[in-house]
Amino acid sequence: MQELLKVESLCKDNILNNIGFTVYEGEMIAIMGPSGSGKSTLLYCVSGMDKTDGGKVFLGGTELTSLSEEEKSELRLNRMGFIFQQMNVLADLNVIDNIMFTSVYAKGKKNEKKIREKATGLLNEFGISDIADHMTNEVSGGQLQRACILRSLMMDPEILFADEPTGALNQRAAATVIDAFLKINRSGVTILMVTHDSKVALKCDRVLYILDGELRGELNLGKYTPEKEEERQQTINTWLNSFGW
Amino acid sequence: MYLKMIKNNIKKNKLVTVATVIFMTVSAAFMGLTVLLSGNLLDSIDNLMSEAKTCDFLQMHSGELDMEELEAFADSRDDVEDMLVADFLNIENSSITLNGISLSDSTQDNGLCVQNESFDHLLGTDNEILHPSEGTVYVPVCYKSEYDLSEGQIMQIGNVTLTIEGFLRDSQMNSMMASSKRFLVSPEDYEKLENIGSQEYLIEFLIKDGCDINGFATAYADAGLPCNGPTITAPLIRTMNALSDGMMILIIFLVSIVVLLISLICIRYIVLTGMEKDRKEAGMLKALGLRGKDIRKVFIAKYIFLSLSGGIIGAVIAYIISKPLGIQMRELYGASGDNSGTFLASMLGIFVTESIILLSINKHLKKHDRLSAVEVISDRRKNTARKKDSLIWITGIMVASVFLCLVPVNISTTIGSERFVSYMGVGQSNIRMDVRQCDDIEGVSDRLIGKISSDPDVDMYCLMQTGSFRATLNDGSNVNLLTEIGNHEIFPLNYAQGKCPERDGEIALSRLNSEELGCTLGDTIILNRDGSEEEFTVCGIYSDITNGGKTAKIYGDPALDNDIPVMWSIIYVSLKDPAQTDPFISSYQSYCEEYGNSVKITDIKGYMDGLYGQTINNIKNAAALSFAAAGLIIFIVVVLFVRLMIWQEKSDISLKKALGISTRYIRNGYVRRTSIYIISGVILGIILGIFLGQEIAGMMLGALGAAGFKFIIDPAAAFILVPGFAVIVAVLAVRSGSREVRTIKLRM
Repeated sequence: MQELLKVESLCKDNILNNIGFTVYEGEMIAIMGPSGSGKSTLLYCVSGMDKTDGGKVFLGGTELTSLSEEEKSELRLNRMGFIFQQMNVLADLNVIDNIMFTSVYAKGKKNEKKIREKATGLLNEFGISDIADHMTNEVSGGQLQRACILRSLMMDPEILFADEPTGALNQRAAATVIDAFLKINRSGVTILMVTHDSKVALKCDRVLYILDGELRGELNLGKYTPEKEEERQQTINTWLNSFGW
Repeated sequence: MYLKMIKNNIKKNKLVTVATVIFMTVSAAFMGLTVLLSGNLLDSIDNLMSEAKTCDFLQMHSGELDMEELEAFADSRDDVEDMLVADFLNIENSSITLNGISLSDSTQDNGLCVQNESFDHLLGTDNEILHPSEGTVYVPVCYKSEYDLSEGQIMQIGNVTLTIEGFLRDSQMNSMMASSKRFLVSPEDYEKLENIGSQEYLIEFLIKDGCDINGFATAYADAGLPCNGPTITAPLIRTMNALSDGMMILIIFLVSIVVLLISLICIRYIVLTGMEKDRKEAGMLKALGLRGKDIRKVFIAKYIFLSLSGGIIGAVIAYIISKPLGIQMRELYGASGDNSGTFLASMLGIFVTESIILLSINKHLKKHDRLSAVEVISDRRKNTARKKDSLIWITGIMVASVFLCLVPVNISTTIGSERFVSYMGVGQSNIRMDVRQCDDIEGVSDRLIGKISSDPDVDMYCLMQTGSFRATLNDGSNVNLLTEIGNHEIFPLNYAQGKCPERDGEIALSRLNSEELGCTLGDTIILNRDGSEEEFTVCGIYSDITNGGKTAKIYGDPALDNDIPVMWSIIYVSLKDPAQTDPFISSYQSYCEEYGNSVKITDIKGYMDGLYGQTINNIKNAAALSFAAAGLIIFIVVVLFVRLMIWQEKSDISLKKALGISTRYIRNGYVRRTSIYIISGVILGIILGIFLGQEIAGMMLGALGAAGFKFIIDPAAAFILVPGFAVIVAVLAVRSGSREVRTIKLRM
């Protein structure tokens, strides 16, 4: 497997301390840890949204930490996708326009027709085509989060960053969202997500554990298959218990 | 996509959108109106002056006239393009009736003339050169509304009856501030009526383009040509024409600046509050890779749309309002020529206004650039409460709105006040008697003084005599100065600088003279009086609208100064009981009957009404417009801010409701909380309106002739009407805004 994201000796204030890890193409990785451990900060630092104090981050050979804010913006727009715990959307646009917004911005209005076709295809594929023309306050949390995931896919990102994507959802809605992530990952998109939920983490290939800003452990689970779900759950529970989880 | 966003945003934020559009509209409307009216006024005046071929130099004169001498002078000068001597038959006002109404109360010198051939034409309502037929007359257009006249009505002069054939525009004497009015008759009628009035002359010159009019005026005086009346030049004619409507336009301009400032403040608040709500969206867009300026584009799109709407509505409103406000202007000066320039200028004014607003919005939105996506997404930053801000802004808006109401009101009461004459070169007395244009000015004046001095009703009086003296300035140049001699302490003027001449060797100059001669306080001027040269020090500078605005005053006793070549005398009288002014004037008019038109007795209040009646009416229009704008602004802003406060305190209110506190009590709480801010705003507004307003109005009035201006305040208007109006509108707005409390549901 080829390296996609490489983190070396990353430091940030007193939150992150000398963290290093590598994400390979096609992987789906979960970052876990208690509240305040620095996992969200780590996600924002490796995605170039937050500044670092030391260390280096490489995305496909590009050193992210040496780029200007403008260059980082362009990188996020074209090569990365983001999903947040709070489903941040433009309240004045409906669901499909929200999904299309960044693509139209990046590719120009002349491509709007193609972009709309792509968005409609994704909405169909992920089973939420019925909410396409709804305003964002008219749909459920799970539907909205899936719409946010689709928005992040519109630019065909190399990697998706997700910060507690199921944190604000009920179990049923969370399950639909995780299914969506699995589907995307199977299509070849690398995913790095922060989660509190071991049920989400067990569907990932690898789990990183952070405590007090330091990487304390790594669990390699391999590709998820529904048949081995119980076994994976036990493995992850045992592993987390070893950190006092 | 942007359009969809704008549409949905407007749907969701109707109140804020409407308020924003109103601010943008009102700002655009006032700026558009200012440009439209001033453009139209200047265009109309220019058009009228060019169609009428107004003279560049006018010397009024009565008595003997040597035409050959004048023609020789004109021929000798390269700068003279043309010359004419127009006859003006001054008619005693009591001999004239218009549609049955006597002009005996008129403060104007009314007279007849015939159409001039080469220039200084009297024009019709379509700016055509008029030629009345025998038995008809054209009446100055300014009398049309004053005496409610229409074509076909009768004008009676003594026993002669003339039919009003139409109305005329007189480019020189159109303004009520010009003290004479010309009625146009046929040469046959003029001849018939010649015995009824006294003959005066308007000696007029057209000066070639680019030549110095002031230099010509000096040369004219030096040549010893007829000059026993006032001298007027084209710039002064233009100023007088522009004065009454110009005053209104200046006030509207002042209002438009204040409204723009208020709009900027309110829109800033609206934008910042909106940004607070949009913070998450902006942060999210940043996280998704949009650059700061691109994020701004997303949010400014709505304001561009609103600004465009506000600009268009404002332009339409400005156009509609300009019609009634421009009625007098069009009547006096006619339609402006090609007004596409004015239209474009007003569009440009609106564009600049909207651009200023959008630039300020863009500046505020730049705060999004500094926003950290991480802060927003991770919600690290706490929401900042703007409750205090809302209340402080209410104070700010009250200050600005009260200022907006008060300044035009104060200007109007000041100009309407009897004391205002003293800013304009006229002594502050009850009655003024002018003795002019007779062979024995000194004799008539002495007889009048004799009668006045023994009149038990008279409190104070003084005699002023004016002569023309040759003056030598510091730089050795010579000019002729119209100089008034008398005791200037009895009925003092307001001096813009220095004081009145109190002893020999002191001279006060009118502002125009001071500027033109380059003399300031302390400079010396040598006056040549009857062959001997005396040195005078400039002790004061005053504003003057009389006699072309170029006068001087020195101390002296006219009775002793027998060597003065008197051009005219003025006797100022104040009565023990000012209520007796009318009978006093009647009795002296009877006494002076034998002198005919030579003695003119004027009630100063009537004189001011005649002089500034139009201006005051225009200012009242502008004041009404300011009141309406201020009322609208107070209402919208206070409603908006109260609703924002309620929105911010939503959870507190629902808790209070759940605890059993009545909606009425909660609503009254907003009145109680805002009242202190409203009242402080009103008080501050009054203070600013009086002091800062005086400075601003002083600058405006200074430009129009009244330097050293101080407000004459009508306490009822300044301390009851304006604050009462502002407080009532504000309280109504708080009550209206607090209705929002009703919609808040109980917390469950």
